[in-house]
Amino acid sequence: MAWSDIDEYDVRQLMDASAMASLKDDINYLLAPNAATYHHPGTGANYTTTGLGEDLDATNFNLSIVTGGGLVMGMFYGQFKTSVAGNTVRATIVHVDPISYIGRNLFWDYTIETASGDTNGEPRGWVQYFPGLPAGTHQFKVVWGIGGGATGTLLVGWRPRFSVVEK
Amino acid sequence: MAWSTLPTLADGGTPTAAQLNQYKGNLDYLHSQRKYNYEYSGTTNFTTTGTTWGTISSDFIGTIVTSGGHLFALLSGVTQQLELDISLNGTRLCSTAAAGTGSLRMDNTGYAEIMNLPVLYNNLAAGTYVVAAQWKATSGTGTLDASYRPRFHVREL
Repeated sequence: MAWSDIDEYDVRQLMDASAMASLKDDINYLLAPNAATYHHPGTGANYTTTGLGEDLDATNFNLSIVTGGGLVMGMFYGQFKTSVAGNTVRATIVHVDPISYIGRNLFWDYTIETASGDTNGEPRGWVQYFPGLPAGTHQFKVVWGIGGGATGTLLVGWRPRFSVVEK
Repeated sequence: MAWSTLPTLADGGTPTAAQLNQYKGNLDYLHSQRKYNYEYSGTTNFTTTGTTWGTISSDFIGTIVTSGGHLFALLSGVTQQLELDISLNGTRLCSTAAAGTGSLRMDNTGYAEIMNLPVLYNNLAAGTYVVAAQWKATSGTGTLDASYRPRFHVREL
């Protein structure tokens, strides 16, 4: 289902079936706006990184939705750890446009971090809002990084989950 | 107030008041939002030594009747030695992973750290959904710290 712009009404204009259908569709869209989720199955190799601003998983933690111009809410949770306690592993959600996609390489522009080197790492979950996006198809990715020659890990056994929804 | 299936109107007809009131009713429904909010304001920590999954308390269970769409749940608190998860009608998010694993785990002892578990359930059919925060201890006594006012929020989105 998609959001559509409804034409403005004029004085004494008669409603027609098309106008009422658009109104109906938009109301229905608000009940169940476009959304996407990836829930990791919890098996296979953990994710690792030694770089800055890398895609966590360019295939799966990479979601696109068609929006009607409303705010998009993104959310992620997972279990992160670092190979060197004190060297922080960091992550965020980016909207893939010419600005934020470049901005993902700014290592300090991240939303969460942990310096935990514990066997099971530490949990991190967060919500990010993306206001002001024009109507159209929008792509969102989870990106992450670590500095100091350490290795960052996302443990898949806890089934990390990534969602985006227009609201 | 309930959601209703809107009529498809034809050219040349005159919508009845009842039909137009269905449009009004659905807009009111969208504005009113089905939700459950709990914020603990007491001073006693929640603790468990259980190593099997269970609910934290009845306050961390929200029941939402939806008309189809998405549900958003958020569990937040400051914890130690705990594993947390959220269940929907009794099925935990992580129930298909390795036996016993939750969605988030905090092993630390002697100090507590924040845990946020935000979850979107996509495109649920209309119906009644019981959303519950679940926990178990990773070792010793798992603690959900009262002083940081743990919260559980569920809403139709």
